[in-house]
Amino acid sequence: MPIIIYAILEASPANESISHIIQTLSVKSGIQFELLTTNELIAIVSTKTGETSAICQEEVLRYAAIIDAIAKQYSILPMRYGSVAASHADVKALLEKNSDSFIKVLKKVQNKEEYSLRLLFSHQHQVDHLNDEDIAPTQSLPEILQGDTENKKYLLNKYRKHILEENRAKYIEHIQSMLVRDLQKITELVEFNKKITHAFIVDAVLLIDRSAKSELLAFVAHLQSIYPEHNVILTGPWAPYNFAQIKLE
Amino acid sequence: MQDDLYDINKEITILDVLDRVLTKGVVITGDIVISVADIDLIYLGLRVLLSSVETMEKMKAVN
Amino acid sequence: MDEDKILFYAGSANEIVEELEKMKPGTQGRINATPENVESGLAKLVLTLIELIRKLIEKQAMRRIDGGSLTDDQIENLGETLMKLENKMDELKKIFNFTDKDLNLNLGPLGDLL
Repeated sequence: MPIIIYAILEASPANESISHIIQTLSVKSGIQFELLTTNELIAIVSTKTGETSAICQEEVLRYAAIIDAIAKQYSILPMRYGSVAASHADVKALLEKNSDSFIKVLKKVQNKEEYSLRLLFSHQHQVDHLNDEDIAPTQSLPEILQGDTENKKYLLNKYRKHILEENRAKYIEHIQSMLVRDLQKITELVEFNKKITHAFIVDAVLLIDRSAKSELLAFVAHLQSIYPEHNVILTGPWAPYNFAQIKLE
Repeated sequence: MQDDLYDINKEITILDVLDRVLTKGVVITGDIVISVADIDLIYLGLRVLLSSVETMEKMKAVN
Repeated sequence: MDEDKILFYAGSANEIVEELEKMKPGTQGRINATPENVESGLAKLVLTLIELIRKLIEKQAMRRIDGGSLTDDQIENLGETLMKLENKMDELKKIFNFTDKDLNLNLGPLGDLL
């Protein structure tokens, strides 16, 4: 029977109460959770029983909800959905083999939670911005592109877009460095998603100490007040998914 | 109005959850592990088809 | 996950959902070649590479304009070439029924090609 792994945590005195929580969670969810322990680590697992059901959104969300419930109280490394081992022995072997890297990452995320901070151009702002550029005085554009020919008009249009792109990139860079600087008081663990669509200025994940949550909320409200023209969104707290991306053999 | 807001909040949350639990977190690879199916494919499947037994069977066949 | 995970937001939630949706990995960028669609898959790959080169040329051209060393004739020439290149590309896209979105490759952790 396949063993589903949910999360991994340190076998420390602080985590001793985990067995009670797991019992409560088992009763609530109807899933029989078990703890597999080695000298240094604990894995929260369950045995997959019955038919292999089709993987659906609900099942994935259920899995995530279990991790979420545990992460509320404990510092854990969340597993990616689909982390299944063949047997209890395999899970234990996995823990023992990768003990050092687990402990290292667990120390990093200890007492911390993850948040997503996003800053978007509002659609309206984007439209206004583009119009501004369109009616911007032509003097700022290279003299050589001024002219009545189709070719020059085409190039001028391309050039405008190019300037717009450059300005956007500079603006994003400016805001990101400002964020890193201002967040320093709260955390140094900030990562920016580089694959963002045009509406985004920033899509960042932060690892924040549990005790600093109110500071983060205050900072985000402040951020919105400096940039009323943008949309600021904060989601969380999440288990440290973005800071636990280790691949195990 | 209030209900709409609730639904959208829920949708943002679900998007964020799915993104995390399917593309982030600790990953196990290797022989001792039997993965349900290639996660990338599951994610694709979820996004495109949500849930379809037939599709899952196909995915298993591919893997 | 009963509790609310949205701690702060301003603006239109619909906009946010829309943008988040766009960021999720989707089917685009995958070239699944099968005997039936291999021709289309190959065309997609080739056009994607041409599009990449075309965009690089365009960027480089803008840098040259910024440099300010181009003559009037060179500007005319450049404009004409880039315009023709773009038109030709649009034609090809139409023939193979590709959108701009189709002409991209997902490079995994490196992000999208274009």
